[in-house]
Amino acid sequence: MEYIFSIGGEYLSFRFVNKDKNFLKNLKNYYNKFICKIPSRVIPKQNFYSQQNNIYSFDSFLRIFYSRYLCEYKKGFLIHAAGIGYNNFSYIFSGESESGKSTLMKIFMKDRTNKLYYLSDEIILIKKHKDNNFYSYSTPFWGGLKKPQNVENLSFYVSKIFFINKSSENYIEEINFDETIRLILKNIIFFHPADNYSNKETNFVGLFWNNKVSVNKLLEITQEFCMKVKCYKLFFNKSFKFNLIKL
Amino acid sequence: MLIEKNKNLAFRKIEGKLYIIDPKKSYLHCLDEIGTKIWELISKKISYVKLLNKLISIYDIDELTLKKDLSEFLMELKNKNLINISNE
Repeated sequence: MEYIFSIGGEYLSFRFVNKDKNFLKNLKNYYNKFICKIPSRVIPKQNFYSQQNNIYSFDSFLRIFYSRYLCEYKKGFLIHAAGIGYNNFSYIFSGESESGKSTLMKIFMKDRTNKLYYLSDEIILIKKHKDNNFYSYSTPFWGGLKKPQNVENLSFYVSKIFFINKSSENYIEEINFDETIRLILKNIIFFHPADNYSNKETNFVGLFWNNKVSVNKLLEITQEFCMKVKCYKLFFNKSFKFNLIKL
Repeated sequence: MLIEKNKNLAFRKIEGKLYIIDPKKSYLHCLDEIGTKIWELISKKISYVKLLNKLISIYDIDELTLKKDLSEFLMELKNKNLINISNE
């Protein structure tokens, strides 16, 4: 017997078929609303795929897929960042691999003085709402840390974004608009070289990559984001405390 | 000599600067105010002489210096695959 699941939405969607019921159940449990039910009749036949039982390749595909889907249809993007929620506000800590996203998240997880919500230690979803403000969302994409329980569907107003660097001291620097744009774009997952994704996902990357329309929309939404949200560079060491940056 | 922008690029003017992305290579390029003006002037295929004359009429600069700077700038854009240069 074949089990069918889909991802995407009204405008861009993919259908997958898998023969392993348990694999499908695990995917649905883990990715929650990132996998949805779309009637097969609305999905173009060229977007039908057989899904192998490889969670890692599927995870890579989802990241790339939502990168394009968000910027083309939802005024949003995925960014390489750790993020926490506190008192309806979120604080985003963006940086490339080894910049300290998981290290910072570990520090926050040890923090018992503030009630913090964990969005991810690897990739945060950011989207513009109808009120013209930007909100961040938790994602199933985690890096060095295991995704904790009960972190699905969290959403917070984006208060500040920090581009992080490990350092011997804790301090914050303001950055100008030009540098902010460059740092934001650098950390948006959409711009990862296709070579980073091996095997079958490479084809998917190519499919999304050479798309001028998506990139133009991404530039537009990035500009709006940089004008709305305060951006800083954060230098930190292991003694860093959330209280140093909270509102 | 005719100059033309690479049509496959995504770009946006933000706060006076132009950010150009080559989606195939995932490179981000940034042009300053004068570079942005040149980019706007080559939005349609334009001859080198016409471009040079337009710049002379906009900026207070001697022709020799402008020729040198413009040639260097256009070569840089060409090497980065942002423009195409062809013979008339």
